[in-house]
Order: sequence, then C-alpha cells, then structure tokens
Amino acid sequence: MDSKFKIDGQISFDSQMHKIHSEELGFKTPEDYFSKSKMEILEKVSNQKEESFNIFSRKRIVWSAAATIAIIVALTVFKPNAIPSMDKIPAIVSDTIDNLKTNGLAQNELEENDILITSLFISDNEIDEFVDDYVLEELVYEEVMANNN
Amino acid sequence: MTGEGEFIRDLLDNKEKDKAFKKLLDLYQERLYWHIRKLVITHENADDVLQNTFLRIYKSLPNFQQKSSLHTWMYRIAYNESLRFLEENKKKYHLSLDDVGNKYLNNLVDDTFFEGDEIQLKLQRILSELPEKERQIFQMKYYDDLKFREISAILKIKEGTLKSSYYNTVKHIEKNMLAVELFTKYQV
Repeated sequence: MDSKFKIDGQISFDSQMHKIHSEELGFKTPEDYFSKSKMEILEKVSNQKEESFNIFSRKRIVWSAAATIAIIVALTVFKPNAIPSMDKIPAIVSDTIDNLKTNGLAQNELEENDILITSLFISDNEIDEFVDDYVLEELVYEEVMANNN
Repeated sequence: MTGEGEFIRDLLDNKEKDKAFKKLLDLYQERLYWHIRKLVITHENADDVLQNTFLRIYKSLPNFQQKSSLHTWMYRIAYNESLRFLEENKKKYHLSLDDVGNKYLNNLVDDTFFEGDEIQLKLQRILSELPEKERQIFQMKYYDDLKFREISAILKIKEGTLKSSYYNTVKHIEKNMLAVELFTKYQV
C-alpha cells in the first residue's frame, strides 16, 4: 500500500502544503475556499449522476417504443400465427428488423386492425422484460464506450 | 486506516460509492489543488480545473484498472486536465512558446490571490524561465512531494532523466536565488 494513502497526518500534510505554497510561492486562496469548493464538487457530481440517469431513461423509453413496434410488426406481418414466448422474442425481433431492412415494408402488408389485435397478445411486462434483458445490456455497453472515448 | 484495495472497492460499489468519494475528496482536494495551481497559476483557473478533475475522476472510476496506485492515477488526471486547459488557452489567445512564459508571470501578478514579495516574485520569475517540463518536474518533486517513480508514471519520463533534470534545476535555482539575496542585502 502506498504510504501516502493515510488519513493519519492528513491535516498536518495539507497545512504544510498550504504553508509552503504560501510562503515560498506567494499563492493564497479565498477564505474557506476548500470547504466551499468541496460542496460545489459534490453538487456537480450529483447533478452529473442525475443527468446520466435521465439520458439513460430517455434512451430506455426510445428502446422500449422501438421494441414494442418491432414485436408487433413481427407478429402481424411475418409470424401472424405465433404466440410470443419470452425466449423467442429477441429472435423474432431481429428477424423482423432484418426483413424490414432487406425488403422494406409494403403499406398493404400492415393493416391497422392486425396491429391492434396483435398488440393485445403482448403485455407491457413482456416488453419491459425484453428491454431489461436485452436492451439494457446494449445501453450499458454504449455508455461504457462513450466514457472510454 | 483503510487499505487502498478496500477503499477502491468502496469507490466502485454503488452503495458505498458516495461516502467513499467524499473521503477521496477529503484526502486529495487540497494536494491536487496545489498541484494544479502551479500549472495554471491563477486561483480562478485552478478552481475550474480542480472541479473538472474531480468530475473526471468520478466518471472514470469504473474504468480505473489499478495499474498504478490511486494516488498516481489521480495526479495524472489532474495533470492532464491542467494541460488540456493550458492548451485550450494557448489556442484561444494564439500564444507562441515565448508568450507562454510572459503570460505565466502576467497571470501571476494579475491574480488577486497572489501576494508574493520581491523574493517570491523572483523565484516565480526563475521558474517561469525554465523549460516547461523541467519546471513541472521540479514542482512535482519539491512542492508536491511526489516520488520519482510517481512523477515518472505521470509524465512518462524515465526516472534517471527526472533525477538529473531535478538536480540541475535545484542548482540553477539556488545559484539565482543566492544572487537575489546578495543583491537585496547590498541594497539594504
């Protein structure tokens, strides 16, 4: 362990630092600067946490909406007879996205009534479960990559 | 006293993180401030850079790979944040290398929180005339009380080179400061 990593003697070390910088280099700080600055830093850190939480939530909502649409489209157009089970949903969604990318989606393939009927088969819980299991992992990865850059 | 390994685990633990970060701030706020202050000179700039440094530390903690001590890692972040700030300023004010030394002294004299007398100003002048890296090495060793191996990890310079630079700078400062003292005594 690093010998400097000790709370013992911390106060005297800090006051020694203050003294040498003041006496030899003429550097001064405003009164109570360090305690005020500490509060500001903690406040900024707390704001930053809130901000990243908000970004995370916003992304989650977008992903939830996208997942809902993709599942509904998948069950309406490509697998109209399928009853969704949780373990099959990711495969159905990815097939659908691939299909849509390759073939596009003709308007007449998608009837409004079909969408409504299909959506009745999919509960909010299933969408949430899908987002929790598969999408959050993606978001966390994205966040880590963004921080690394 | 908490071991560094245990402390790092607390910093990475969601439940303990906030408490551990406050402790980290208690331990390092002042020493990092002085480290930054000598690089960016004015109190106002040092305050900005210090805040950015701790925000960066907080954000980067999950990526801390423990290849160096926490102590060295934090100094490195503070150093990089200071350089980033100086680089931005250089670009902003279109400064040449010669201007940087002059700006160092101008900033110092203009700073409300510099209260140096003649001797302190002379020392600052000698420091400002040193090549940037030599000045940083001297300041990290003499004022920040860092070990050569720590400075080596921060600046990515071999320890042997650091040692010879440091001892040459000390001799240079002693020689020049002695001249100032003699001059001051002669005036009296």
